[in-house]
Amino acid sequence: MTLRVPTSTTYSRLERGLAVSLSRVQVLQGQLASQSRIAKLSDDPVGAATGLTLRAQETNWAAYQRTADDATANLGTTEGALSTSSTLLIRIKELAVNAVSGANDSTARAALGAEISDLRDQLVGIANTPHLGRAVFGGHRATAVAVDTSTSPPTYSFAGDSGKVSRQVSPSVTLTVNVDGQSLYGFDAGQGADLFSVLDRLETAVRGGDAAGIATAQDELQVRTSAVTSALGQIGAATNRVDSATELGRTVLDQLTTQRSQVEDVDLAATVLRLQAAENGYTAALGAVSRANLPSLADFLR
Amino acid sequence: MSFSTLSIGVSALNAAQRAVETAAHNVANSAVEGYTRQRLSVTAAPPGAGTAGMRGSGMLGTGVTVVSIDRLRSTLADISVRSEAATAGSAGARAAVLDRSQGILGAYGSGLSQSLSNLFSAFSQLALTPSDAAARQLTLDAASTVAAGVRDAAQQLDQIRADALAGLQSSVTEVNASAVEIADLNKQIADALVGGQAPNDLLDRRDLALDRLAGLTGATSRVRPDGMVDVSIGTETLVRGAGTTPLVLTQTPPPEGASGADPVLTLDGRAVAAGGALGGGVGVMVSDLRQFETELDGVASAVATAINDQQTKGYDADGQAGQALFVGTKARDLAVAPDLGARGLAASATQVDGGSAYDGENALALARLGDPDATGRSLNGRLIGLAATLGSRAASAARAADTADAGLDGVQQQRSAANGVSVDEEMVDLVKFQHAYDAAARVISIADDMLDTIIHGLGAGR
Repeated sequence: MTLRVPTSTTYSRLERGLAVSLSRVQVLQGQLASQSRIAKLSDDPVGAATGLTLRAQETNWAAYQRTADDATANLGTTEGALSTSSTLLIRIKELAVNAVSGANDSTARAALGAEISDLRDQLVGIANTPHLGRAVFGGHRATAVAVDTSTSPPTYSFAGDSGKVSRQVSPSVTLTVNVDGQSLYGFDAGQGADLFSVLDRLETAVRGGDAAGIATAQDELQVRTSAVTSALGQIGAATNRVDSATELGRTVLDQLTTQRSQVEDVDLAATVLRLQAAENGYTAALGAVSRANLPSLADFLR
Repeated sequence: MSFSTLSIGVSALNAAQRAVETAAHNVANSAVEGYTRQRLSVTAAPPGAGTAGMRGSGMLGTGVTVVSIDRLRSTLADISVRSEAATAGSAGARAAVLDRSQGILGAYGSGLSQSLSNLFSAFSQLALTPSDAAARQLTLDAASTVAAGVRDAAQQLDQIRADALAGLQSSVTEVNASAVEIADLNKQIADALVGGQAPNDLLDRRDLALDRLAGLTGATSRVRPDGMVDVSIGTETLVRGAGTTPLVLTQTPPPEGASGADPVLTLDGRAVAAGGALGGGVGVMVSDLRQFETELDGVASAVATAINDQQTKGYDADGQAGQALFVGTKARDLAVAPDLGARGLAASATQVDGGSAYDGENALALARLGDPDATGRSLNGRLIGLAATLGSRAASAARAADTADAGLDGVQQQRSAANGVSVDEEMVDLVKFQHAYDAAARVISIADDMLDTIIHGLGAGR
């Protein structure tokens, strides 16, 4: 059976064809312009959900990375302070050994004492090393100094606390990034047992040529020096763990970004090809409209 | 020799003239929506009685009679077009609302889900620098952004509901206007039929109104013997002959805890199950929009509860026990507690007098609330689940609407193939009937010649 073709049908079909092919072109143009396959959720509901999940994970891992960076900085500052302290303590030991050699007159002993006093002040400064405005050896306390010397005559008191500053640098790794200043410097070993009081006593003994005093102070000093060394080891181990967590985080972030790009980004070559095809379709539809005015019977009747 | 040849010629002239007029009417209305092509129906006129016993005289033909002007309409095509129109109307209304709903969570990639991630990220930053006023303020701002995003989503849902309701109301007005128009046309058509006339153009207008009603409500119609139609929506009658029952849109209170109103369509006080755009609109409002609202409320309350619980386990910047960060239990009233302030964020897990120590442990615990729980579901996962629901509903509704449109287009093409005007056909008819007219004129001229021969040639007057 031959289908009748009413005149108005011809035109409504052409109109619909034009609208459909133009909308195809526009969708692809939009994707190319934004470089994103997903402008609204319904463009690809499954892809959009995946993309959003990946974005949330990226934000989460970026936070871990920030934490790891902070941990690295914290550990670096602490390590610097500890290794400088260690160097200074070795120097102090040498001075103490020199002082008991007996070949020193009072001028020489005064010079040795002055250097020890100088080194002690440096150690106090190092004990108060800040990180982001807080003393790294101060525990949780939001104070600028860990070792308080403001009292007169100078005595030493610990201004921080023994709180452990812990950092979660990856979903499975949480570690302590600080050293407890109280036990490091011996403030927890009783009145006057802290490093700085020991150094005060050493200075006095050196200046006075008191060999027995120097020997006692040397023993006490050895305890504090080994505390610094063991803290250095602890910090080194923590730094290694943070480094590997940072590396892991970087890899995960790269993977997440790649995955998200696969879900969200347009395949440039394929989209350009599809756009070309859609444009051809549109051109063809336009051509069909331009030829729609087929001659009618009226043209042939006189 | 009788004068019957002349009267036969006149009947042929008349018929040809009517046929040309019909073709001209068709051409004139070829672009009119809903117009059905018409055709002149003619038949041989009843023969005159022959003379008894005379062989070969038989029953003499007396020319042609115009029977009627027929309307070439297929009822079957109308039924399928209206059924498809109801489907397309319903799918279109649903798709329009769902397309708007998918935007409630904000732009893809920078919407509410990202804000929530940012809040947990801010908590983790706060864990690093719990004493830093700037970090506290940033975290509080991130919490405000989440609350504002949730409220905004709820408000948009409310707005979509209100707009959909207004749309339904105006559709109902249109339905009632169409119903009155049909009742009016029913009366005119019945009158015309009683008078023996063919009210073709009135029938076209009525069919157009019925098409519109089908798209809006999925209404079905039944033609009565007197030519009127009765229109019903579901099991209730909208138009009965020349009378109508107005369709009424009433609003019922929302389910417990929800906002806005649910629409109900009633005829004569009884609820009707409408199809078409109205049915689709009512359906999407009472099911999909409600579901989105419930899920959004669920996410809002889960976020608020989890964070508030953890807040109360910690201590704020002044060493005080943490207070709830969020107030409100529904999405639309979720807000950051107005008197909390940045120092009120409970970053520390241990209490130290005067707020001089901060361990940041509770801020870390707050940040970890963003992680998946034992069942693998995270707070953001729920939100993303809602986003996926919104997206897939909108996508499938759009697909359904496209399919229904294509289906409607197909049956409309079929129908217009049957009842649309083809200008070429009409041109053929015009030529055909012009020739018929010429020939009839020739018949009259020949009859005239014959009479002339009899009257003058036989010399009767001499």
